[in-house]
Amino acid sequence: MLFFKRQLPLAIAFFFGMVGFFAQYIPHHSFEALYNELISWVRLLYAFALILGTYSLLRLHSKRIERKAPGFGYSLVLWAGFIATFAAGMYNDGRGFLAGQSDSGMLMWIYDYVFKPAGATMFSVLAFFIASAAYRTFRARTTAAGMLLASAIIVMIGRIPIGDMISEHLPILASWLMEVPNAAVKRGIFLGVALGVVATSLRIIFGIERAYLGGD
Amino acid sequence: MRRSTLKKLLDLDRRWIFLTVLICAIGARFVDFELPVYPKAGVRAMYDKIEEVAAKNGTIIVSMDYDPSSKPELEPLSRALLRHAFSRKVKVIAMTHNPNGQRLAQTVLEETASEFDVKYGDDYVLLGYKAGSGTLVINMGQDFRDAFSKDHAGKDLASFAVTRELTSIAQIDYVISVSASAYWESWMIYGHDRYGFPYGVGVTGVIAPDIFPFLQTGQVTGLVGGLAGAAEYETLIKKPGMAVTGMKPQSAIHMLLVLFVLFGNFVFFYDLVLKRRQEKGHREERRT
Repeated sequence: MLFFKRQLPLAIAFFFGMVGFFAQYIPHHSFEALYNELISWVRLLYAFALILGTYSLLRLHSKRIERKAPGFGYSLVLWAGFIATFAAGMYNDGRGFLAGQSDSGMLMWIYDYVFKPAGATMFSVLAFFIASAAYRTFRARTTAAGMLLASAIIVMIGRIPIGDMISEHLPILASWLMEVPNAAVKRGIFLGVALGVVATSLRIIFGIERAYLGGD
Repeated sequence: MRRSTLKKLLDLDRRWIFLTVLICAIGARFVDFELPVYPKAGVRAMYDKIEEVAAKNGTIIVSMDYDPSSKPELEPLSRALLRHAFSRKVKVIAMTHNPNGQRLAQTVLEETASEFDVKYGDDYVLLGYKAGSGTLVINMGQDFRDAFSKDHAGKDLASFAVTRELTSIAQIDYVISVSASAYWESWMIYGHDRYGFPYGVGVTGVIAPDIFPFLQTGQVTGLVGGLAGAAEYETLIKKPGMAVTGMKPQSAIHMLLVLFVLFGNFVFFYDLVLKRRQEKGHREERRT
C-alpha cells in the first residue's frame, strides 16, 4: 500500500504543481482551459477541507469527552453547539437543506444572538488584556526596547484625533514612522516570505518536502 | 517612596487595570467634547476613487471579508462606503470571502440601501459567500458567471441590471476589500495584479501597517485603517456615524494605555534605582 500512501500523492503533487507552474508561462488556450478547470477543482477541495476540518474537530473533542480530560465540559458545549446549529441549518426554517439559506429561523437566531455577541465580546476583551500587558510588561529595558516604546507611543497618539489636538507634528511623525521605517521592514519581511513560499513549493513539487503525507 | 510600595504598584492586581479601562471607555461616551478628525491621504484616495467611478456611472465591488469579532471596527467603514456609493449612484456588488460574514454583509447592505432611493438588482446586488478566496478571485476574473451564476438568494445574475453584462472582474471600476484577515491579499495578488482593476483596502488597525508598502507601489489605491480611518471617511462624506462617535472612547483608551506604559516604566526604573542604592548601602556596610 506504499504506492497509495507515498508514490501516488507525490506523483499527483508533481504533476499538478508543474501544470500550475507552466500554465503561468504558456499562453496557449489549451493550457488556459486546463488551468481554469484546475481552479474550479481547488474551490471544490476547499469545500471538502471544510468537511474534513469539522470531522477532525469533532473527533478530537469526542476523545476528550471519552477520556474525561480536564476541561471536557467545554467539549460537551462544543458538541451541543454543533448539533443545535447543524440541526437548525438542515431544518432551514422549514425549507429543508436543499433550498437556499433562509433569512430567518433558528439558525439566524443563533447567528444574531449567540455567535455575533460572542465574537464581539472576544474582540472587546482584547482592550482589557492589552492595557494590562502594557502596564506590566512593556518596559524600556534596552535601547532597542526604548526605541520601540517611543515609536509605539507616537503612533498610538498620532493615529487618533486627539494627536492633532496635542500637536500638529504628532500625526506627521506617526505617518512617517508607518510609511518609512515600518514599510521598509515590511518589504523585507514580504520578500523573505515570498522567497520562502517559492522554496517550499519547489520542495513539495519535487517530493523533497513530505511532511504533508503524514507520519505513517 | 519605599520599595515595598513600588513592588505593590508593579504587581497591581490586573482587575484594577480592567476597571480603569472600563470606566475610561464608558466615561468617554458621556463626557461632551469634540475631537477634530482630519482625513489622511489613503482615506482621501479611496473617497476620490469612488467619486471618479461616480462620474462615469460605474460599478464597484465591496467585499465585506470580516466576521462578528471584527464587526465593531469594520462595519462603520462598510456603512460609510455604501452610503457614499449609493448617494453618488454608484452601482454596488457586495460579497464576502468570510463564511461567517454573509449575514453581516446582508444586514449592512439592506439597512444602508433603505436610506437611499436604490433598488435591489438595478443598483446593488449581494453575491454572498463562496469558498475559495484566491482561487475564487481568479475564477471571477476568468469567467464571472462560472464563479457566481446566482446571487445570495439563488436568483440568476442575468436577471439583474448590475450584473447582466458582467463577464470578468476586470470590468469592475473599483474593488474594495473590507477585511479583518488575509483576504485583502487574495484580492491584490490574484485580482488586482492579474486583472488590473483599481483596488482599495479597509482593514483593522492591526493590519494597516502591512498595507503601506503596497500603497506606495500603487497596487493599492486607497487605504482606510481601523475605526480612526472609518471616522475620517465619515467626515469626508459629511455623515458622522458610529466611527466618529467611537473616536471618543478610542482616544481615551489610547491615552490611558500611554499613561499605563509611562507609569509602568517610571515605577520599574525608580524601583531599579532604589534597588541599586540598597545594594550599594549593603556593600558599604559589609566593608565597614
